[in-house]
Amino acid sequence: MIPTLRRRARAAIAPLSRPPARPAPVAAGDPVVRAEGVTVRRGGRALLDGVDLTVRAGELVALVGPNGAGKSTLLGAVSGDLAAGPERGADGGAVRLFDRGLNEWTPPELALRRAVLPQEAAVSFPFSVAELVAMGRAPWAGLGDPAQDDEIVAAAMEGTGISHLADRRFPTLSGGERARVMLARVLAQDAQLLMLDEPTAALDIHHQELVLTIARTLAERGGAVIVVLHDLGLAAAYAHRVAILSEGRIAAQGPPAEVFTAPLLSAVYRHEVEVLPHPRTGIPLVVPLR
Amino acid sequence: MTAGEATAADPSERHAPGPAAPPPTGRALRRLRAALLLGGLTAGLVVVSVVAAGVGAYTIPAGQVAASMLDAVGIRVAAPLPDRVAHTVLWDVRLPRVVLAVTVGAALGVAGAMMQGIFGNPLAEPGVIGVSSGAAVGAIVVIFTGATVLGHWTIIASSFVFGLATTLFVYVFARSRGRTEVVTLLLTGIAVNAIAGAAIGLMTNFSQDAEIQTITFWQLGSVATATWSKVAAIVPCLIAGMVVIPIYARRLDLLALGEGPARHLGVDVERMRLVLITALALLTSAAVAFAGIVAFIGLVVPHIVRMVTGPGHRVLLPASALGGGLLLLAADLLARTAAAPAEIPLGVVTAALGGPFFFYLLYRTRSKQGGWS
Repeated sequence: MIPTLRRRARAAIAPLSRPPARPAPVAAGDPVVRAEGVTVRRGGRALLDGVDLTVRAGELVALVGPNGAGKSTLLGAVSGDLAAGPERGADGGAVRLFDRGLNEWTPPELALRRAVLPQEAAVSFPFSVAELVAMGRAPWAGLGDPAQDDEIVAAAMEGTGISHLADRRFPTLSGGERARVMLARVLAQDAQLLMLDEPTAALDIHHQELVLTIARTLAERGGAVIVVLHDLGLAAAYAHRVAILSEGRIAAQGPPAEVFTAPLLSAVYRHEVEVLPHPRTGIPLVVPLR
Repeated sequence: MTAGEATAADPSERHAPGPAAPPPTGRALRRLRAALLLGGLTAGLVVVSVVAAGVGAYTIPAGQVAASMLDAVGIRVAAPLPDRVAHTVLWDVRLPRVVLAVTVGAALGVAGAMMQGIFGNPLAEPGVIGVSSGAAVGAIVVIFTGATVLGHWTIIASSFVFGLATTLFVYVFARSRGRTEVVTLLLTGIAVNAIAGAAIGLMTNFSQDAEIQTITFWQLGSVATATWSKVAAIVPCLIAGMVVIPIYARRLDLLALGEGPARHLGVDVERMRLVLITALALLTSAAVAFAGIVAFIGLVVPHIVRMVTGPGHRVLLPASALGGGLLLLAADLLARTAAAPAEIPLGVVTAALGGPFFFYLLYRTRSKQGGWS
């Protein structure tokens, strides 16, 4: 009886709530994010000063740089948080997602296409892990098959190694477990564009590698991933391209092997560093001079 | 064989017989609990309503009450109907009061749950943060000035406007970065309550005796003056405030992640905030306008529901409505029977129940996470 009522109620309000258009497939190499000349000023200081960034489908792009360089601000600008938040939006430039202006998307349409993992994981009420991960499926409510939702949620929990925590309440989890629950929620959203703000900050080595392996796999399968990282070693190992931010500008961008050079990083971080190729893999290792 | 070995062997034996049913998963268990809770609350509400309608200075047996209520909806049962006096007492005195108590309680319970969801803060409650006092100021201004611009509706309209203004003020003032800090929220509540208290005190001071009595009624809370016309006025407010539940319950869950993540999941946070704050101000103001300040219902009920079924709003909101109605009905029954023939003000009873519960919440949170910061 209740499902019938629910269906009737949905049918009754359907004319009012046009279902959001499902995302169209994106060919590998198509630009997914295109930011041009993004400028953000706060309190007379430029947090971002004319930043250009393009992210294509099939690509994992890492944003690195010292504290306060504007990594999270840039992520906020391309995710739409700056425009929608309580503060003012960007002061200049344009952001296009999937070849449409950021402000032309409605929130439900955008939620089907891009997922964002914020830096801090806070939940106001003691939801269980399974409930929290299932929240990632909220944008798809009414668009897909509920059984498929369950499968995607289960896969996201499996992938992040939190299946055994399903019935635990969020406040009882450790910091690393919380971070993985939030990641699973974002993965369950099943979006073509993934934005991760320091996903590895609270994690041990095993889980850091796990998270970036997942992100890299998604990119290899045709998704686009932007990830803010502090650990240059992780960025060098997993990113297709890195963008090094310094004082609100992009100091360099390109494949890690090309842009991670000792003089550039030493200047950006204001600390002498050495860059050595790993003896076995050849991936650049960034070592601060001690 | 030692006793130790015997007990060690026990569990395996207990598991052996028959193909055991798969252990209920967390979700199935929660659904069962939710169904039991909603069913239990509904049943409790019906039973307590029938009992409350019978108990009083003129006692009517519960069987007659039930028969008369069923008779009113066209169902004839074998049980005897109440006589003429009992019928009048039942339909003109008791039932309006029972229905008003349930409606007010439901409005307060659901408003508390909504407010906690929209503030992202488990301590938000119309009484605690001063919305009830704000709405009471609106009601008392009308009593004090004797304004009758909108007839019967003047008081409710004025208390609604004041309640909405107070809610918006507290919301804007206590919020930063999409969340409200517990301390800021409570301190805002103290300030709002102080200002409202000053305004009420001032008006009381310059009032005539008759007005003072009405004002005192508002401050202590009561459903003693219930009539069917009052019920008819509050029920539309309750319905209007509750229609948003099926639309926004799931989105309120998402808001627990914070405003940013809720927006990333497709929620139009600004619109939701506007709709829900209007709804909860309507519910609170309607309750205050007809029953005065009845504190703690909106705090106690959602907390108990969360302990039973978890924080999901699809169960929390309807269960808080049922639970609020049940609790207020029981409190009113206590208020008019505990010291019969005298009546204890309803607000006193709920505060006497809610105050200790607040202490319990403080104690539990302190021992679990070192207190609220």
